[in-house]
Amino acid sequence: MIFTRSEKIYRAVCYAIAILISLICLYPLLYTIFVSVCTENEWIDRNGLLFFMPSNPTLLAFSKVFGSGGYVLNATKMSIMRAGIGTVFSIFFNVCTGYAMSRKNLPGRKPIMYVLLFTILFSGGLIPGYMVVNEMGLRNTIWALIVPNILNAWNVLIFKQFFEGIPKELEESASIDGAGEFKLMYKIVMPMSKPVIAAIGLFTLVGHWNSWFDVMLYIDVQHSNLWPLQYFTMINFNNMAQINSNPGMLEFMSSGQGVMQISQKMALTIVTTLPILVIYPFFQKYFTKGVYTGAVKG
Amino acid sequence: MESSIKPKSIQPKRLIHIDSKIAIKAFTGILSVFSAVFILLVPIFSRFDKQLLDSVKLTGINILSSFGSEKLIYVALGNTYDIYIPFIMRGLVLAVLSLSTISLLFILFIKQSHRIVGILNLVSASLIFIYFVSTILFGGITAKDFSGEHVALYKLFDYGSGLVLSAFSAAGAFVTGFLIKEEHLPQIKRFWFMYALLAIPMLLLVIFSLYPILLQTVLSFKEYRFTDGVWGSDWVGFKQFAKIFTDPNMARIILNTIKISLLRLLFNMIPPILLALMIFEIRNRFFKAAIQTITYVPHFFSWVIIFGIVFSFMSPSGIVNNVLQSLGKNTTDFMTNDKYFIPILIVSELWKELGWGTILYLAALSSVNTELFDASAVDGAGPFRKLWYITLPSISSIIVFLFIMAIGNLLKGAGTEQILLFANNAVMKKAEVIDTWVYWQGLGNYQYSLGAAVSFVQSFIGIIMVLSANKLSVKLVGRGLW
Repeated sequence: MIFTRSEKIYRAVCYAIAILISLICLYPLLYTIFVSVCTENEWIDRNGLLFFMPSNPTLLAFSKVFGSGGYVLNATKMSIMRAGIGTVFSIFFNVCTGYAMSRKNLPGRKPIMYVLLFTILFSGGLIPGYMVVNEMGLRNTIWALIVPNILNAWNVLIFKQFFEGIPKELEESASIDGAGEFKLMYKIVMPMSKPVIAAIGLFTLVGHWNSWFDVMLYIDVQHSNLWPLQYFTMINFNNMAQINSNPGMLEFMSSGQGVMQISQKMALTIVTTLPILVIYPFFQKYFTKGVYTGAVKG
Repeated sequence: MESSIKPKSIQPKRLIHIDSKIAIKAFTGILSVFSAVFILLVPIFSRFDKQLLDSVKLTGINILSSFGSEKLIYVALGNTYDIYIPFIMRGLVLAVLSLSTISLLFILFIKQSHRIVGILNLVSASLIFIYFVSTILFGGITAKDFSGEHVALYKLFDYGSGLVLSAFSAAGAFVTGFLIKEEHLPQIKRFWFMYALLAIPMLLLVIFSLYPILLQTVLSFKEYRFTDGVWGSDWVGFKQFAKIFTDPNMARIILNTIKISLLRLLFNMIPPILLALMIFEIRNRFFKAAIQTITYVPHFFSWVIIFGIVFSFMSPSGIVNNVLQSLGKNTTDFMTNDKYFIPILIVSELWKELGWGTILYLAALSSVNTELFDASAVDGAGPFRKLWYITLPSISSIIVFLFIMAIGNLLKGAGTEQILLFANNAVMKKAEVIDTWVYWQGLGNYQYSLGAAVSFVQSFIGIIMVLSANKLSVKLVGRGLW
């Protein structure tokens, strides 16, 4: 590469701005950590002007968050259950559908494909969806958060496209060796598709972990022991004043006793985010796959 | 002859070898007989009697037995029902019955008849379907209710599964008899495993994707009442749609949706492009990866978390107000001030999606031929010329595609989850968009029919816009959704 002087200046500016943007992306995260480990005394001493790591950090806010009647632990358990079961079911059935859709000679493939595409573009909307879940008797069970989300036409399309890309020669040689459809799928296609399954699986997992809207729809205050972490956190930040939930649940969200209320809120935020940060490094390599999954929502 | 590949003829013999022709005939015959059995024996209407803990059932046999009289005096569980069965209903049961009988005779005694039988069953299935739709639209069987008035039977009884099952098996007979040809059979036999894989997903598709679409369509032409349910509520024609297009409140909400969507589009479209161009200039691999890793992270946080972080900055006890206070200025609660609502929405989304937005551009940029840069440098091109003539053209098709698709998604692009979280009573006027309205007013205030009609219009316009956007994009830049 040949660099002229103007080129060098241009690149220097690019570097500088990119670094600046990274810092802007990073700082709010660090800031929530700073706030969450700040003691009440220090917060008051500084008049809330905390920009960097507090001088004597404390984990009191975290212990308070976790110690408050086991609500957070229970919510974490629900989140893990929901995300785990939901992802396994979703991946299993989407892979099955995608695989069947990738078989070119399958009689009836085209009409099913058109219906799947149609459901991407045209949705039944919020109210009918709510009515169906109600009628199925899923309301106030964890299945209301899992079953309606199992089939994802978009993911089916991605799987289908991937399976179609597997060389035909492999399948032909396998079927000459006497492998039936089941063996073909289980022994040849699945092992080759691990990356795409892992990618979609991780995105599904994150999606389940992050979702809270369906919890608000389907699980009411009387069943708050079914609330996953996201919704629990949302309730604690809630400014919609629409749910005056279980008072015991918000008990720990009070100032005093060593840490500010805002520190506790930030601690809860960090607890809710932590699992995402933990799995983040594992699926960085699958990012480009995932971009296409969320491109259009019906 | 020695050959490593087994010829087909010496495959192991099965114990029972069924000729494919016979299989087709048998399936068609059985399904068409079932269509008659279902309509005769499975209740078409039923009602559960709470006192006797038993149900009252009205089957096709009951209906046929009322021939010759205007009404069927139906005694069940000690209750007497005066049911008025119109001629057309009896005709329907009789038609299905006779079509099924003719089908059976054809199958048994005439060779090569399965295609004709398939057509007969299609007639059966469509008769039931037409009847079903017309009862919903114009009322069908009526009965005398307890106050002595004639009301549609489905208001007193629930629909049983008789008609539906009958229509489905007739349709099945049409599929096996007419659509499936002999040469398909080996394929179907070979792919039985695929059909087994598809069974549960198809069930889920019908229940959670297709049935809601049907419900939505029906609901938007009715006035939903809780006591009557979806099917028992009255038809009101286009009343709900008229409400949508004449209500000034609705106009405000739709305009608000488009406004927020456009603002998000404008302010969140260009920054990722600029950032991608900058990251592209970074040739140090480690450094580049670090910047990408950091800027992608917020995308994976839920809106709840983003709300929490925004809260820590903008709330009355947040850092921004603390700084204002220490400077001796007035503090404001930014979260409940409607002046700041939309800027907060847009900036927080920018923060969340800025890095992630670069990913498609960077993927496209990675295929740029770097030799072009050297060549242009020899020609004396500066950095901006290179940017304009080499770098930008390589991502222009993606920019156009994303822009057009975003325009196509305008009615849904206001960010429902985000608004539901960030909104409060103080900013409600600015926060009402189509999707939040459907949640707050449609679901929250039990305006199910109006809510469904709003979603219906939204989806209907949405599908037209997305499909045309897709077509336009394919035409302009050769890039489509699938």
